[in-house]
Amino acid sequence: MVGLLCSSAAFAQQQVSGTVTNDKGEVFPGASVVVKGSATGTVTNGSGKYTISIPDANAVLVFSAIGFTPLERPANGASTINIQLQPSIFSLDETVVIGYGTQKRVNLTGSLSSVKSEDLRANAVGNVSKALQGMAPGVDVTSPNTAGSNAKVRIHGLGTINNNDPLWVIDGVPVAGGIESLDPSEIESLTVLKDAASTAIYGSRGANGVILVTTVQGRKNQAPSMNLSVRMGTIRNNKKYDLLNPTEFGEMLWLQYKNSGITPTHPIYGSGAEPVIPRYLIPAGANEANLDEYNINNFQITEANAKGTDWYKEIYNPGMTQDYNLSINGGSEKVTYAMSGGYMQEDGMVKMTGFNRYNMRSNVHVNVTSWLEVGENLSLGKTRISGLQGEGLASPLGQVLELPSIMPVYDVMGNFAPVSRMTGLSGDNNPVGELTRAKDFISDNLRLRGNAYVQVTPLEGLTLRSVLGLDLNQSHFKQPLEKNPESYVARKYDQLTEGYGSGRQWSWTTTANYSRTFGDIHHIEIMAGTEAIDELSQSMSATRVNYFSTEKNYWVLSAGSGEMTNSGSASSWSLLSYFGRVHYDLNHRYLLDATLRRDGSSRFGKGKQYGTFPAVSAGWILSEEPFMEATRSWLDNFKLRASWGQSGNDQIGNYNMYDTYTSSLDFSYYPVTGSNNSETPGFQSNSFGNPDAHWETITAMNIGADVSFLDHFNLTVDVWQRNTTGMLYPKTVPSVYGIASIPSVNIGDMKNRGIDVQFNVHGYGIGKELTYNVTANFSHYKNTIVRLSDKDQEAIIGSAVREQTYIRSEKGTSFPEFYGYQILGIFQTDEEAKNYPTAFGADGTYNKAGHFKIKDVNGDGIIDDKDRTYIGDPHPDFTAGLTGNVTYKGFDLTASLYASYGNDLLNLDRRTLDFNLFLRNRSARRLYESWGSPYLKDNRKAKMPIAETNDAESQQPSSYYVEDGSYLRLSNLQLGYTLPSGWLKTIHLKHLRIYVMASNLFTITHYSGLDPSVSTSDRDFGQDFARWPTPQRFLVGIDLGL
Amino acid sequence: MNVKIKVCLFVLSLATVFFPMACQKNFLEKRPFGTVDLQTLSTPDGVNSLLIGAYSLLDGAGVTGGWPGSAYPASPKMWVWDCASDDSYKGSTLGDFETAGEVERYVLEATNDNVEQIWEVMYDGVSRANDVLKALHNAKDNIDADQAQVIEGQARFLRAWYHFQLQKVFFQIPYITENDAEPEKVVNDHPVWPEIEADLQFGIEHLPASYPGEPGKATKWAATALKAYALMFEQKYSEAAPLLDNIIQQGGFTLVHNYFDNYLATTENNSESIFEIQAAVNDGTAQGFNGNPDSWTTNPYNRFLPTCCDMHKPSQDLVNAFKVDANGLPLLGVNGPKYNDTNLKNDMGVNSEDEFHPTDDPVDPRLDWTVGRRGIPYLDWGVHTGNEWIRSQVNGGPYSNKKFMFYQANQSLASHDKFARATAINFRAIRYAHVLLWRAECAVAGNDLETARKYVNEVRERASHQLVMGKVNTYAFGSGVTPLVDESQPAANYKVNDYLNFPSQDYAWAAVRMEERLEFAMEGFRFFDLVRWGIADQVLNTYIAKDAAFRTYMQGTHYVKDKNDHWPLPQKQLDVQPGILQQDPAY
Repeated sequence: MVGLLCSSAAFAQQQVSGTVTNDKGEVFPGASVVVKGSATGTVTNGSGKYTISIPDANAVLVFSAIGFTPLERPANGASTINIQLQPSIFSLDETVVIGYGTQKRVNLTGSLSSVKSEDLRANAVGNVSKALQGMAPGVDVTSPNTAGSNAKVRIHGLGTINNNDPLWVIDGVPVAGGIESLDPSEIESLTVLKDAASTAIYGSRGANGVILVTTVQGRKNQAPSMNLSVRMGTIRNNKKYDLLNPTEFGEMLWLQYKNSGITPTHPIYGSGAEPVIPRYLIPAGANEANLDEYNINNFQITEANAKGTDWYKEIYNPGMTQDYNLSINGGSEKVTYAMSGGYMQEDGMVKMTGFNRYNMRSNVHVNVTSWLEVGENLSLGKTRISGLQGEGLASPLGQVLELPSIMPVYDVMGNFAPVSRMTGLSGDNNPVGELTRAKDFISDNLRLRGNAYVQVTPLEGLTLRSVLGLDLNQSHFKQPLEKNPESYVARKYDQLTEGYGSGRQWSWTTTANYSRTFGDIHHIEIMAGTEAIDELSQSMSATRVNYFSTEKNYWVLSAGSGEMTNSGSASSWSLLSYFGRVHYDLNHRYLLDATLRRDGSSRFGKGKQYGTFPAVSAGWILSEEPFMEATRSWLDNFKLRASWGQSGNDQIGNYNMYDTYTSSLDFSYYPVTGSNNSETPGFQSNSFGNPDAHWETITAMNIGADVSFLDHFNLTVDVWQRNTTGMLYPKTVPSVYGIASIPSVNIGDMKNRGIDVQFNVHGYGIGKELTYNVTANFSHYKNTIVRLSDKDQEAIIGSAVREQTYIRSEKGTSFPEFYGYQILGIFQTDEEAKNYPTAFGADGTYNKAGHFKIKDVNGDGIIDDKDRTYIGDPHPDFTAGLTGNVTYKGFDLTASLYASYGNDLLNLDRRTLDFNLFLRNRSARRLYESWGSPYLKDNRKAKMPIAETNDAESQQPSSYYVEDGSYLRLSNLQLGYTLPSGWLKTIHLKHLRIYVMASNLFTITHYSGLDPSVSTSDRDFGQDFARWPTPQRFLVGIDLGL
Repeated sequence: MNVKIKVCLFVLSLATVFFPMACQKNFLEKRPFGTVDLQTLSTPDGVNSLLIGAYSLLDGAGVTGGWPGSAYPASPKMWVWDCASDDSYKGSTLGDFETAGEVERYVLEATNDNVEQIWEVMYDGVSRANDVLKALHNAKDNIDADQAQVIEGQARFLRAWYHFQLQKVFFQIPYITENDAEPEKVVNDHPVWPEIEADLQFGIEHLPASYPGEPGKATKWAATALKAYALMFEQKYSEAAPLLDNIIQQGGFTLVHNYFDNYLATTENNSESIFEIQAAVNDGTAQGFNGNPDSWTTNPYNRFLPTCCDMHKPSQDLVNAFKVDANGLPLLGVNGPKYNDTNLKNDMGVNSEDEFHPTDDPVDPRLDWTVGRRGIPYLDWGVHTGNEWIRSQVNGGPYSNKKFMFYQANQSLASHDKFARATAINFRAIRYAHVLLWRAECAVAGNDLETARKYVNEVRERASHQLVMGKVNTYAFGSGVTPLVDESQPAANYKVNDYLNFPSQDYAWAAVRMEERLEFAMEGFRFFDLVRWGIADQVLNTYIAKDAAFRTYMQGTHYVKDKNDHWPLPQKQLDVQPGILQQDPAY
């Protein structure tokens, strides 16, 4: 943090000078030297030297710098004071960035966590949001693993059924998403604001927590320093399901035919007593084929792959990752600067996919006069996502679940095998073909983000600051797609889809800060400000088909000669706010903060636009009390904190209040003229408006304690509660009103309670050669929907997968939970089944040996859809993170572990693999562990019901798919060596460190899916279905300082 | 600089920048882009646009912002519901669209998506029709009174249409009009036939006989025919008969010469058409949402065709119904053999490369326009080679749907790409053949058997005009085999003749009902007609008992009279309209 130093006219008194060095004895430029209790101060120059005037001989000088323990030294008449600063591992005097300002950690009364930039850099993923996992208590992070994706960050549970994303603020400016364009190397500090006392200053945008990012800055009088860091390595994945080979697949077919009372006959495997693998899949089941008849459009002769195709192997890709960053920073008395540039590239774990990022940053601050400072923080980021990266059923990973291994990748002529055009077996699309065709897909984003400010200090203690922030982005996607004759619905033409989007958000924030100490014991800081934000986004896209050439440069829209389609849209919102905060500190013992913010949002109707969000918090530093004198020997600091506050949420879309009608080619046009290819335009109802909606309010309480003891230990405990009232919920509109988007109404209530614990131990050993620093985080929360609507039956249903829904929430449940039939076991005998309540229809055909025994939840003696119930909870009992760092001589070792315990996962891959859904792939479980399998010695150990062709009931949503998702993972491991500085001097280097690192080295879990770390939308929380598993990364790196 | 000056400067600069912002009262006003409100649409052009929007839902593709799965249950062909009849199977594989499998097996519960989706889409249609009437009311000073009545007539026709579709599926429904300020308060305490008939009567009185250049619009004749059909659901045959006579005598409609002209995009809006659901493709939509998206999934699925997904498949029972005796008449089972005493020979369990000889038994020519079967040319796509053409015989039998498939020569009338293909083939929701056979029903009900016979024979006579040509002389379709097709010969032994007499009213009922089944097979009428005739339980339970040997998953299934005559109201709607909507007591 750049200090604001006023050169108030000082009468020449005594002068003190000296040199400040760091723990290694190197000179320390940019360290702050302040006369205690005054505003007089300076910073050390490039040689670590300073000179300061002191008012009298007994003045006390305070030496400080970011990341180092401050030291106080009475002048005692000396004219030279040399100081060696020690790095602070967990310093109470550390300055922490808070909303619209900074605060010393010791003076904080709210609940917030800081994450060190080194810890972000110690993560191999290269994405700030993903690197947050396990780093701060109360912050839950789940990451999709598609290249370039952002993690889902949830702070203190799920506060709403609407958007739960926290607000990101970079260098004081709220940003409109796009965290993937931020290079972790650009970050100097990151603070997560969790309780309402901390977030209320962000009012309507603070409800889900706030993440404040400060980018790298130069320091005053700091000699220029240049740092280069390079890391590169591999990324890979080997996670696979245990699937049937072609022989086993035939056996499985015969087993299920026999179990269903059908004489086995199959177009591929024949009609014999045993299944036989033929030579050809096309022509179906043939052992000879006339290759002259080959026709790529409808007769792609394809051989069976008797050995079996490993489809995972065909699409997984051991790839490369590389990351370069160059930064320069420094400063003079009047100017500080920091510049950086970076490039990062990573292959996806699936073939022909990837991500890259270019970054540039320039942060400059100028003290024009003693009372005027101007500056800018500006960054440019360009990201590119390439290839076919989707998840879910239609994605390559979804296809891999479905393709029997007897299918080959290529047909006899070397073209992609028509997996969807076979008889008796099918898949949707050849995933290798789809990946190959989409290899030139790009999705680019160019982001210009930054701010310019002017800051005036008209009087001592008063600072006025006005910041203009900008967040501009230009996105472009281009998807050239060649025809795919092998598909069942072949694209007959080459096709290009291309689109552009732009986003523009400006913000203008003006604040006044006043800070003063009265009578040595009353310290007061007052802040007041205004903020205006305006956002506009627009997009358009177009498609043409039929391209004469597929040569790279030919792919532009105008070159296509066939069908043309296009679309475009725009959206906008604005926010106008007034806010203020008072911090009062009595005698360094009693702390009080009060915050008030008033926000007006364009998202609400007239008269409902403004909301007011108050917060108060207090802290009591017990350890400073005289009566605690006796504990001083071991208790370094003991602070109690309590806070109460409100913040809001308006994340319901921009136009909730309007009744609108729209014209839509797909849904409101009609060819009334009898034309076979043109339409008459019409209008349809588009949205029902609710002009009465207003802020959803989150009232949060937090009680916390910070304890430091025996020099080595720190403990922070927070117990919290967040109550959401007037939760905006799109209450179901009866369909007799017609279909239109449903407006949100303030009708729900949600409750979250939790506890966050952070424990840190640090210190030295073996002389001072060894340092260690270990931080453990523990978080628990409980989420409950208190009310959704005025109708108790109202429920939120998760997304349908193959027409079935598995996830639901309603009054009294968590948001969300798994829902379906509760499986009690498998009927072992027909008699047992007949004596059990009849399931799925009065005829009782389901009740037989080998079928599921389903719980009669309502006790009415029959099993039907009224017996569905809540069968699992995706919310963990707790999550924990452990990050440890040890240095010895030049060596350093960092490791982080992450654990999630007590959460359930819904493994829907099992529906595709275990049951007869389509004529597609099956798991080994279907053949070897289904009830009645000839391989199963004891049917009581069957994992699934009897294999039949016609059992639709057993695959209904049930607890069969629910599994314990607990896991423990070694997320990161890094080992580095820093070369001795003496030796480096000879080659004119200040600093040189080399390291190796790995991520996701091992995972301990009972989960049967590919990866227990599953990231989904909140509504589908815990639903695992054809997702990319977490890859492993192995990297080597070098940091070099000049 | 003096401190006071600095303060003044700063305050002044703040004031200059803040003043304009504070004054800008509309800073927080953001109106949506690209939309209008109802008031803006209350002009002649706006009302007409809303009317087009109300027509637009006839195709059933009604869920905005995503995949319109509702195109299946809300299809004007009602094919999902037809899977409960003896005409068709759900088909495809077991797990594919399993919620329609629950229709087929009569185990559908109130939480099934299909009941929810048809309810949503049809009431959206109703609400769009009501929006037309509301805007028309607002704009009445600017619209010519006669023109206003034509618009009102169409809106009320559409409102009746959408309610009609629901009234067929559910036991009782609420009838929503533009005067219901709170539609959620409207109860479902009676079948809404009177309201449907009243809206259609307005159409009969105010709609023109045709619209030059706009054949898609509802005419006076469409309203007349639909009202007659509604009356027949109430067994009011004597009230329906004069309406149908009116169409026959004054409508100027004739049967088209070729039966299959009723299923081609190139011959639509013809002399037989009374009300067609218009379809267009390659019109700028990505997936053919304005085509007939309900057929996305009902065409065959195999490597020979660019279509998907082999659902709504002809049953063995339907195929049997096309059998004729030596006189070219159906086997009605009244004082004679019944069509389903034995199965017409089929290729269940026979692989394509194995030998199979199709039967030479005489059949009605409409069989091979309705059903794709082994050894018969499938339009111009080549010979249907049996098992290779079928996705899963075990689950859907050996036959393919044929009526709504396009000719290879007409591929430009199918949507370009993406999932499956919609086509530009209009669905002939009401055609002159309907009017003739409905009139025949009324005649049988009134014991006027000669009139009935006359109209039945008129339809049968037309069926004799067009035969599927191409006798296939190859019986095993292994690789390297090019089927030998004798284009000069009919594909099978076709025979269709007039009834010489209707010896009894029972015989006449059987003949008329059989004729409706044969003429409109796979067009979504069968199930509702069985219920309307009061014979669903006896027909369907006989069917299931025979058919379960064929479809093992039907074993143990029963059709329960009353309970299965209608489907339950969607639970989700009952939940949000407690105390207003009542569930079908038979459910």
